[in-house]
Amino acid sequence: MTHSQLIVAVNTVWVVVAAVLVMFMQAGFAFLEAGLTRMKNAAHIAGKNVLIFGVASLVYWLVGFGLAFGDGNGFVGTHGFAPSFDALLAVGKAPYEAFTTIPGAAGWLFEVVFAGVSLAIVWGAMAERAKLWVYFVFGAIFTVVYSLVSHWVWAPGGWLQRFGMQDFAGSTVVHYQGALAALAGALLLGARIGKFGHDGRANAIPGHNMPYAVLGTLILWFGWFGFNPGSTLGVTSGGHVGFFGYVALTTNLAAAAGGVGGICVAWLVLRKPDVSMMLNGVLAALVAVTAACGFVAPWAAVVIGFVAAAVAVVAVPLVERLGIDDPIGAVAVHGLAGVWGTLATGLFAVPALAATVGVGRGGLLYTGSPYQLGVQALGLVAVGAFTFTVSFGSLWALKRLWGIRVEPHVETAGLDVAEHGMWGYPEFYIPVPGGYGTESHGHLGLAHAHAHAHAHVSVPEPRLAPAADVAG
Amino acid sequence: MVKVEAVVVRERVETVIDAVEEETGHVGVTVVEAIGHGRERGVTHEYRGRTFESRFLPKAHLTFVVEDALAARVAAAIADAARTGHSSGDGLSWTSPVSNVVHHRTGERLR
Repeated sequence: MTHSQLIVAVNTVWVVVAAVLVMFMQAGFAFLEAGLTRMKNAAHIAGKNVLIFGVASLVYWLVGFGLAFGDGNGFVGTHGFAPSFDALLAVGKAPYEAFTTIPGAAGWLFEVVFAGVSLAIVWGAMAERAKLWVYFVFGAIFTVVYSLVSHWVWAPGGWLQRFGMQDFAGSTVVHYQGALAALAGALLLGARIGKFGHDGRANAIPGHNMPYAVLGTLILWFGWFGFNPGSTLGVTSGGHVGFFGYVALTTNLAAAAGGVGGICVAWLVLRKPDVSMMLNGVLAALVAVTAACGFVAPWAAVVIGFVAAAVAVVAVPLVERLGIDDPIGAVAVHGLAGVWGTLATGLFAVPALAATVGVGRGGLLYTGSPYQLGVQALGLVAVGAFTFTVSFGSLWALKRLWGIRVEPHVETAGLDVAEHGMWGYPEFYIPVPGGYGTESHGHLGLAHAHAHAHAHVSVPEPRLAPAADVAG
Repeated sequence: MVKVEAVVVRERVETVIDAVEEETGHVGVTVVEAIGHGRERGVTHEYRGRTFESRFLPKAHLTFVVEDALAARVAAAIADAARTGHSSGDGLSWTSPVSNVVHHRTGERLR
């Protein structure tokens, strides 16, 4: 193997491993979202992560990857739709010249799992009341929107990339965008039945399983070690071998500060060390450091994480006060923390690290120049206007045409039984055949069941094999 | 004292209790989550392509213990509030006389 082949091999191993870690974040969202919502919707909400990752993957193969990373102009990729094996096996060649040291297929895999994460965020704010078909249709629309914006920021020659916008792994591209669509969805759907009283005050609708939410958060934290460090797209960056290890370190420091910050701020501001707010703190910190992780010093990662957690803890009730029902807190945790992380990069980016990554300049703190902060703000405004407008517009059209919200009796019964035919936890609601309250569990039935059990265990006497057979 | 009991659909539990408080001023209720069925004899669910007959539906069993004079109005308030307009499944309410009703905190005998 030549030296350049070896580089391709090592980089591909790392990028594919990172992609698999990011894919596992769907499991994190499944547990987080199911845990933070009601028992009657648990199967629906966990299951939707499978559905939307399927939709995102198919759309991303057909058009998304071409729009995002196919060769094209500053606004859109115009090549590489529905790619075949030749385009996907080539390294650094048309139509995917963006990926210079990994094959197109590895690039596709790494980017599609990001599209899946962004789409997963959307439904957090729309949980417990959206019709099932909306996941198919808006999932496809959002995947296209996401692909266009990721072209602007990440594709070589993308118009925000040319300004030097620093978004290492997608505080803006993935999280802020997902939250913008989530906000549009929450506004158009309206609040869940019972969320707001007649006087307009918000009621608490507690999540049904806090250990699920904890597990989901830890899985997301774990997956983030693919999300941020994998965005190096290789094992060397600007001459630093193993730079991704440093990116993993800043990621972890921010998350740690977010967890500690989240529970402390909740204790001070809400007067209870709320577990779900600690989890929101971790996630907000991870969202915020996503833009910054390759550009900032360790101390700055701690500051970014802590502030993000404080923003989330304060913003979750604030969003409710505006009359917006966001069951998971997507608008606060992914939206506002994404904005903070994107701007914080413009403040804290170290010039030497910006040179290593090869994007943008040092931040305001080091250079005294507001240029980088301005670029970051420009990106937020442009992406905010585009993604919110298209998301709101398309969801509004779907609402006018067919309606995007389930009927009230479906919502009160729960999406599990009303849309899918069965509860996520059936035995909490009714006896099921062979279970408690049915015949085989009663006094007569039990004897019946015992008879069956005996019939099963009564095996025929083993017969000794004739000696002749053994000898033969 | 009179015991007023009602079996209602779970979505109506708070509506029914609010109605009783509003109509009669009586405060105090015990709620037990229950399953059961009326004339409809349950529903059909679906799971993995199989239909699944369940003779039971989730309900709630409410118990109010009220002064004799209030019993009729409480029962009427419950019936009005429990009516959903659906073709079945709204449940029943009934009253029965009870004796030796003791208020635990004060030891007072209610009548």
